[in-house]
Amino acid sequence: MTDFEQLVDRHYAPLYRFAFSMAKSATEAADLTQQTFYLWAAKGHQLRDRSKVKSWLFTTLYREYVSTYRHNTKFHHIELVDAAPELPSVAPSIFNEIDGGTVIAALAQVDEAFRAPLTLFYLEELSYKEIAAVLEVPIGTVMSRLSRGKAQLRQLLLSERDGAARKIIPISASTGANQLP
Amino acid sequence: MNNQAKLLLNAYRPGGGDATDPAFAEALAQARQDPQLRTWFEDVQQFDQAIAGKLREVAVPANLRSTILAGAKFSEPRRWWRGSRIWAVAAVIAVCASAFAFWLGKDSGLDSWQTDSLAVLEGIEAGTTDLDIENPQPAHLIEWLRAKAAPVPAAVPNALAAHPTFGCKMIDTNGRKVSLLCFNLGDREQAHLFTTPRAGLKLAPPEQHPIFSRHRNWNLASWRSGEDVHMLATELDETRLRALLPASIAARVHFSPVLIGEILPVR
Repeated sequence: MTDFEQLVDRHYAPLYRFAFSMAKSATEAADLTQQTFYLWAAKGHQLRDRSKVKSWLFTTLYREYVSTYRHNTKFHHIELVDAAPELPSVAPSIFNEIDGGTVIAALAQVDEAFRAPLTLFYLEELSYKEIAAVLEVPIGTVMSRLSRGKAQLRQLLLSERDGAARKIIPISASTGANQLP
Repeated sequence: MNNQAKLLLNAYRPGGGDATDPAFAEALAQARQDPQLRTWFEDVQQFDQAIAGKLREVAVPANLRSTILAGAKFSEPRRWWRGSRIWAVAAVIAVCASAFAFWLGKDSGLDSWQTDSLAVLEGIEAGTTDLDIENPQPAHLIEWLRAKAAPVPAAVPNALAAHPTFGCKMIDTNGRKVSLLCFNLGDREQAHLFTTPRAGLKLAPPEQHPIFSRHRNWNLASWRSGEDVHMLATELDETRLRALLPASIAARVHFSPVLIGEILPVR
């Protein structure tokens, strides 16, 4: 097995899942994953620190997503706020009972600025510092977005479970934080 | 204080890559001592475990791996110069940059035969120019070039000769004949050996003393060997480039202020 095949075997599944979370389409996620490895084949030799291969792949995929699929030019900078959003109080076991498709559908509705760090967090492939590097945001911003993203995801899942309207009030609106674009 | 601890604990994954990160230590200690915070943290962790598990369940298309590997084959070295939009765009940018530099009356410090030859190489990579012939045997290509009265290296450096070739090309730059041999180093790495006669060159590198320089993405080594002048171009780093040079000259580095001009030594 070649080095390239080993690299693909090690990383293509989490890269695909990250791409799927961002692009919300299996076809586009597959395209993004393929393109990431194509870029590695063409440019990967320029990476001198081989320990950063995984970060390179996730960074490249994210940049490809941003340049190809995202219409908004830039995220608005979201300030780190001290007040962590309160999570809806509910027995945590209910989230184990929700099927994977529902979770993915809810994740897809999370604001994009929160979804990227949230997915990288749950994929458990990168440290929070690496997540910050991949998304090119400060570490504090990653933590803030994780906190808010989790609260939003939880609220979406509860709404889904209760059969309530899926559209929720953005967390940022209820806490007075900056609005997303 | 609890809010700050919650912010940190929300980013904590037990057993994860940053589980031992000291940034979390204080917040974790606080959670151990504060029953309310501990309950909140346990709830968060259960939620996190559930979501992470669901995310891992997302099915990856069965053919994705084989498609990636098949797609990579299109960029295998034998066809590395074909069909890449990225390379095509890069080549257009490179040509525009060259034209702009020429218009400004500034060159990169390279002789014109070198910049012209590198532009041809970039055209090959972009798929806008073809190799004259494709063959994996360097000896076969040298024979072919010799039959065409093109300049040929008196000896291919051993480190290069050990590798197969993609092909070769004859280049005519303002009446100067240059030959190009493209080597496949494996693992999608390439090196390209240019040869031209010394005769008629105003600036020739010193005998057996390589000059290292950089031109756009290329790391270059130029040296003279008898009546031939060679330039080896690769995107590999300097160490790898040196390893490809003839052993007799690899350790010698010569910087000629007259020739180098704006060339920066390879770092």
